[in-house]
Amino acid sequence: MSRHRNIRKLNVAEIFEEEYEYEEEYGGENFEMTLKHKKQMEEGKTKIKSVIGQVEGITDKDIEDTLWYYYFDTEKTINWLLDKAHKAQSRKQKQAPSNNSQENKDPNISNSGPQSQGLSLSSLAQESLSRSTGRISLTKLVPSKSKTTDSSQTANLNTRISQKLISSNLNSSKTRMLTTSPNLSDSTHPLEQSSSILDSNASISSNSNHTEHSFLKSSFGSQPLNFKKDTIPHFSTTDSVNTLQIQAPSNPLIAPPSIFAIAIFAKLQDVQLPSNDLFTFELYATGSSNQEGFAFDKPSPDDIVLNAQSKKASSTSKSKQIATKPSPLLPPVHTMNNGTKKSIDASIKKSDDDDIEILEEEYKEDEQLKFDIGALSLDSEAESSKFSFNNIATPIKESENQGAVSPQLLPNEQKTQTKANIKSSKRINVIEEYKKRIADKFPLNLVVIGHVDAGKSTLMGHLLYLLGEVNEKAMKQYERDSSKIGKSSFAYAWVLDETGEERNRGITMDIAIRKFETENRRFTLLDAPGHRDFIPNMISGASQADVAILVVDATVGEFESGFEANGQTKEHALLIRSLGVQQLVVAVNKLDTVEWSKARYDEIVEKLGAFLSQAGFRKDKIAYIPCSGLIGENIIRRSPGILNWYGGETLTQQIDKFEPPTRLLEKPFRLSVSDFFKGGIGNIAGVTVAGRIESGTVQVGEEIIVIPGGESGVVKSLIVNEESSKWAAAGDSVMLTLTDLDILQLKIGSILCPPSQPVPVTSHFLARIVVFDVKIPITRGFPVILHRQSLNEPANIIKLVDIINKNTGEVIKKNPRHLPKSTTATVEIKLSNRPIPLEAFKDNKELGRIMLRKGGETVAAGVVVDILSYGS
Amino acid sequence: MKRVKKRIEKDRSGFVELYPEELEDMWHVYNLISVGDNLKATTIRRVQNESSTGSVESQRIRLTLTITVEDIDFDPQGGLLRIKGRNIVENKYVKMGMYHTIDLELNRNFTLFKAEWDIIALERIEEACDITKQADVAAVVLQEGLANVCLVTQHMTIVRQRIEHPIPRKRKGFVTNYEKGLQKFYDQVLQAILRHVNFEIIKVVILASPGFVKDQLREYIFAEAVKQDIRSLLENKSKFILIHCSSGHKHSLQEVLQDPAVQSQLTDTKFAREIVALDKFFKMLNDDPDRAFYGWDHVRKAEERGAIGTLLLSDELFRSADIPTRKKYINLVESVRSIGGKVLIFSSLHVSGEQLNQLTGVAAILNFPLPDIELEEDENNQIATEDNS
Repeated sequence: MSRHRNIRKLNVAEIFEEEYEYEEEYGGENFEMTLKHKKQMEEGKTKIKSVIGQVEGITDKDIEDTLWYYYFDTEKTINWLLDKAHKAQSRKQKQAPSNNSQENKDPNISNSGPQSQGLSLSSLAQESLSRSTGRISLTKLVPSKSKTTDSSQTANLNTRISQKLISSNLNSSKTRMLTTSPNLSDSTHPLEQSSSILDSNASISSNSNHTEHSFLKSSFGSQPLNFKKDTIPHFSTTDSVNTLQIQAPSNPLIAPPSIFAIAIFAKLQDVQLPSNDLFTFELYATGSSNQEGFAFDKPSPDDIVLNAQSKKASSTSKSKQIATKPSPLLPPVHTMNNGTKKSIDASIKKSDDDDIEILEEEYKEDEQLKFDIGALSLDSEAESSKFSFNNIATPIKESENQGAVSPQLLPNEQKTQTKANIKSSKRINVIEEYKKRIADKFPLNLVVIGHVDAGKSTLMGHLLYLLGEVNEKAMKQYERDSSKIGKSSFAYAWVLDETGEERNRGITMDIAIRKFETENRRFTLLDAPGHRDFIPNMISGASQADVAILVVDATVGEFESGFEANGQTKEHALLIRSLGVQQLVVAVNKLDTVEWSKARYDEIVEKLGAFLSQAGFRKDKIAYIPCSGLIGENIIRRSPGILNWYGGETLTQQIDKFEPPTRLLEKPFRLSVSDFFKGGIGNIAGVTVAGRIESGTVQVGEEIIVIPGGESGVVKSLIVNEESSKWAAAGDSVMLTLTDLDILQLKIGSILCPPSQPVPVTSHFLARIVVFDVKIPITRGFPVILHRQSLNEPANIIKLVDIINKNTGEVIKKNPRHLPKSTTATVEIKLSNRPIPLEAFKDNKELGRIMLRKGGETVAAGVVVDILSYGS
Repeated sequence: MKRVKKRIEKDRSGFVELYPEELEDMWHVYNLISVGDNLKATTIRRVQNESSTGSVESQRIRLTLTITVEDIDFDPQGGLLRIKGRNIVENKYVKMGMYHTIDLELNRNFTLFKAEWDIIALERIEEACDITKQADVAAVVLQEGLANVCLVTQHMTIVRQRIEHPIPRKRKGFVTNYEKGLQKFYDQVLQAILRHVNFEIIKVVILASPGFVKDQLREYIFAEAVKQDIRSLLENKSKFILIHCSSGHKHSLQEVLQDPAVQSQLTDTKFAREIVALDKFFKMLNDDPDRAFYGWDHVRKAEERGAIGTLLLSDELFRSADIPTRKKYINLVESVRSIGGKVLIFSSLHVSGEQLNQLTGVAAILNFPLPDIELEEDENNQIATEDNS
């Protein structure tokens, strides 16, 4: 039907009447409500009325305004209105204690409701409110924080209480937009919005520019350490989860909740889970200086995620705040930072592999870990799991609360919330379960690497056989079949090499995954191919590993050829080191071919030792085991009279000693897809995805989305270590069946993550790389293949930013013409084909690691420093 | 391309009439035409007639128009060249100054008028019309699950089809999925080859991959060819060559074309020369950084000292819309040639050209080292930073 006819049907008088009404309300804003909207409005209004009944202080007009503001999202509207009613009550009570200050602040804030509704008229603004992409929420958080600088300075504590109470209404409803430190950002939201009312379109676009700019600035802010130290002696920019955790108790500003606050929230607190205390604690920990006894009744999951994601950023901008305005108004902040600094120092001393160290070590001297890009933190286990408990517990609470409000109002709910519905009683506390599991045997991912034909598969095949993972009958079969094609020495390797091609050619081509257990450890074995052409597969496997066995061939000439420039021994060792593997067992294999010669063994140990420590492995984390994979000597036991000169551990004993690494349980769920196929596990229809959980936890029934693409699916079943399970946590190699997901949405290298915490997608980012032993120098425009986990994508190095002294972290040369071998440098990288999911190293250690390869050689390894553009 | 007529005056103004025959010619034309030139070609225009009663009648007519070029648009995939401009020769249907967009067509003459035919443009015509220098190669670079079917001509590399087919990994006791996936993938590649490779033109079909994928693919192709009796494949079996490369991405085409086996098949083709030169440049940059420079400033300084042995330029620089920039580079070319240096103009549609474009589009290998160029730069920078601070 043409538009003309539509218009003819309209009742002009009615429309004008309507318009008049609204113009009155919004002070002549250009505004037009369509008929459809009107209808929706009426529907929504009646719905809301039926739910909230007659509450004092909520007029019809209020409901309409709010409905329009949330664009007919009835549920949010109800939340807002109820909170507003609370607020109104609170104001009455409040008037006596803090009259003056409230008057100063309140008009500004309480206006913000209707004003920002005016804002919502522009479709642009609406979009930005309702959009849930990571980009908005990420960029959004920066300005709000920087703005808090002002508010935190000017407002006194009393006003802040009321401020927060009011803004908490906004907060609970505007979940999508909210940011790291909810209290802080909330108080600034009204300001931000009222400013954008002035000219909505223009200011929004400029706003986003500004945000991006300041976002960059704040993330760069952590780099010029020296400069900041000079200006503010108290302050150190280093920041991490740890500092925040430690800082929380030392925050002098955390007062017990005021009487007023208790009065208001008493009722709500009764309803809440006992974990509430922990949660409020966490809010304090996110690093705002003007905290008060305030409890969120409904912390949105987004808040929590963003909290976790940008703790670093928040404390960086906090540092900016101090750096720019070291006014006497802020004595408490200074003392707090003193405390923080001390705790940082303490934590550095406590563990030199700690989180802080990672960024720090490029600046500080650390000869052992010269090239270390990613160190695993080993000590903060207990702390982090405690911390993450909060994160897990709160979303449950959230969903309960939502359910309590109005179950019948949910039909219009977003798809995301209806899809994943786990009853809270059925929800598993994964962290608790995880603790139980690791108490038994700690699960580790073990990758086996080495030059082609070093005997990796044979050694591991034999080990599996000796440990009883391969049944006798199958082994016999392998022996028969392999001798049939004249390759009887490959019988053990056939345990792992299963494809026809691999068996015929006698080399491993793709990662084989097996599980086995030793006395104290539960291993997921990843048998990597040694041939140089299959290094992408090897990277895919090694990126899933925590620890490694490096197999070298002791045969005269073979060790040397594997160790020389074209051999893979060195390249593999460097790769796994850059992928964050720190513990290594070197299996000196095939010693039977040199008559178990001690001299040969010592020679190899010496040569390798020199190289490995240069590559960044610590001496005390490397162990050498003489063995023979084919004969099976010194794998789990030694025959008498063969290795008399050796008195150490056997291979199994040695790998049993691997130390458990820290898992990123507290971070949002991330799974990097390394494989997928049609059909579920068992008889369930769907798609099966395999990969390693890089961080966070997942359980059956949860909803996840696939990035890039954003398509969602529900986890129907899970297999961890060849056994089906109800849940899985960071570090596990899992297979999971997803339903409601189109297989075309999946790609190798996609990331699965929760809908509320999507991983950013980028095609342009800043990285710090260590250049390997390259034949041609890296220049601008250097085409590379970028590897991240199982993903490989063509990319270009588009800008060489600077060369860095890897020991001191000083910039040696800006805008270099080229990067010669073994330099450390900052570069900009752009993907050539399509954007990929990627996170900055500071946000997620696993997803922030990249390898750059060209022409079959690894040219550089590095970490993502900053993401320069989101989306494509 | 065929040159039909050429008339260039002493003041270097004049016209050339050309007859494009294949896709690549469009690329040449795209590089020849610059804003401000006049173009005469046949085209189709929709003409509206208003009758006395006011009803409008529109019809499409083929007519010859001459326009002054304002905008050029090229799509390498389809070989489409669209040139927008204003009419300068009035006729019955089109008034002076009216806009028209000409879609240049294959096998139809067109005439290009330039106020000044410079050496680069003239060389381009020579090159385009030289049929002896033509070498068409089809290359399939692949790895498990990813294949790029490309067509490589003298001046262009066109990815005809990019095949992505997820192949399930092997898992314990369950390899059928993997093998099935692989077969399907090979089948897709085979279909792509049949669709995009015209064996009458193509001299060589390169299959390149890491590992054994290429061998398996070849086996599969000829097994299928026998099974389904695909004549074109069986007759051209000798045209298939296998080359090792490091990945299935388009980048690795450069490795492939650098391979001695390919080089011997395609001796003295332009892209082979380009790749060798670029490779030499990078080697020089590593071994003796004072003899390899890139970027206009550095290269110009080297040129002033007469040190340039080989000059590498991207054709993108000559497509520049503003004449001074184009002149600047033409002078550079002439000056290098006058001292006996070699000049290579890279096609930015090749992988090597893409890489050179990233390197500012201009690079030079010097005959003797000039360490002071970089020092000078550093000093300037230092002065600049001191000023700033």
